[in-house]
Amino acid sequence: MSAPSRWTDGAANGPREQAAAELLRAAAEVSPSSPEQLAALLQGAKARALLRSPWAWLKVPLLVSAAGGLLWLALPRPEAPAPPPTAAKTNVDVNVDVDVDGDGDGDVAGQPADAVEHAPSAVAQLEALTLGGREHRRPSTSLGENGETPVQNHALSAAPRLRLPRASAEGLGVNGGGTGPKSSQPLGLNGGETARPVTVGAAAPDTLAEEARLLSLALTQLRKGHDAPAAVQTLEEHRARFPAGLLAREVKVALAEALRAAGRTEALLTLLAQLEAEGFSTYPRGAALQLLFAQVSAEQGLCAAALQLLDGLPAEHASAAEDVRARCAGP
Amino acid sequence: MSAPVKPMEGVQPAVAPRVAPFTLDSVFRQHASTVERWATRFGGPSVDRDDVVQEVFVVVSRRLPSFREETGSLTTWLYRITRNVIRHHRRRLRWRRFLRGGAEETAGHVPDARLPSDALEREDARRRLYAALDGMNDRHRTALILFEMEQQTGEQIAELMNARVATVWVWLHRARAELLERLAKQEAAS
Repeated sequence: MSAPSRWTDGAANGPREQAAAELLRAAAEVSPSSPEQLAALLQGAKARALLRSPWAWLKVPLLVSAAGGLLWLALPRPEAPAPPPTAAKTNVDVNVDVDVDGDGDGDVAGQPADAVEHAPSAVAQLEALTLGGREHRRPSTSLGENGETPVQNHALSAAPRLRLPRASAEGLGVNGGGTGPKSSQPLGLNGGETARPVTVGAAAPDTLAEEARLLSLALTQLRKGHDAPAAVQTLEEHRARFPAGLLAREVKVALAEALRAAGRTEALLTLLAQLEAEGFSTYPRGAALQLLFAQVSAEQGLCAAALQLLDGLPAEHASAAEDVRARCAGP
Repeated sequence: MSAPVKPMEGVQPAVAPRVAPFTLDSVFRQHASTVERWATRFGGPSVDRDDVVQEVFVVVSRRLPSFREETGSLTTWLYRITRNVIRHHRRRLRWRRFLRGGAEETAGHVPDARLPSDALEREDARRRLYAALDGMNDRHRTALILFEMEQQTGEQIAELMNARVATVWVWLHRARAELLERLAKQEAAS
């Protein structure tokens, strides 16, 4: 096929072809852009190319991600979830149950579990020693200092379950005076409660287990073995090995009981004076300890100190307090 | 079109450099007016010429590093980029026309009453011509524009369209017939 002639060159052969050629010639005219306009077009093209570059639209999210990462690194990390309440705060006396007689029924001193409810706690026994009678209290439930519930301490599961004295609800405050470690929370007597799990804190499980073992051994020696001197020795060993142990307070309370039972009055008075300096309210059964101090002081003829110690005792100790006053009033 | 930059004589690199001798600025300087003209003639009044030119050189900036003269001349390469960009624009216009309706509205063609009368006539002629060209087969339309408006030879058109010369003449013949038919329909409708 030979090359055709262009209509726009005048080769159109008909009116319609000529009309079409006119249109083609008109449409072929182009108004070129000025150099400035072309330069603007070039800049526009470069800007578009940059925007369409993958790095251009990745830049912002990458910058945001990098900034977020730096911010995350710079900001303080959220603390790890709070561990279960420490024993230092809650005290094992709250929760550690020791099956003293080893029969696995959570009882105290040879009594069956169903008798626990009527069995006196160690502090109740301590109180009984001072009051000359057996008393028991209904336990009062309480939570940890921060409202947490006790957590089972598996590390203590191997130890004999120890029923430890628990302070009365009115006896403890979180920051009760003294220089000793803070008490945990208001506690009720554990006389009627079944075994409760221990609440442990930051101490290594093996350390706490050893502490609990010694304390349990001491109470077993005292209550089941009726070997107060052995109990004193065991408790002294605990104090020597774990001066700031998690069960230090419980050990002191048990030591007071053991020293009373052993007849070591001077050592008992020294211990009670130390506890008074730290604040009885910071100890489990602090009121009972205060009463004990008053009683022993009265027995030693220190009536002025004894009568002073009777101040502020709760009404539940009113009867025992009257006995101390009567003793100090003299014949 | 200026000759491409050649390596220095006597210098025989161990490995042939794979760097294009062109830069965006140099290509733009040499071919911007040509691309502009193509955008006007192939796009018609419905296509934004400046937008097309910028789009073409955006593509050029991206692909220029990989351009090899062995594959074809720079002009042919630019033409194909321009054609694809215009084709994309026209396709988008057709969708807009379909979705919104109204060729006038989507074409954005509003005769400017401030223009001189000859310019107005020229504008009207362009509008009528491209109204007829827009409905044509794309290859026929391209062949017609390249031959009648661009004044390209059959061989040049064949190279640009990657076809044989005889095929180009067939396309041209069919394009002319189709154009006349459409213009007749416009005349009858008006």
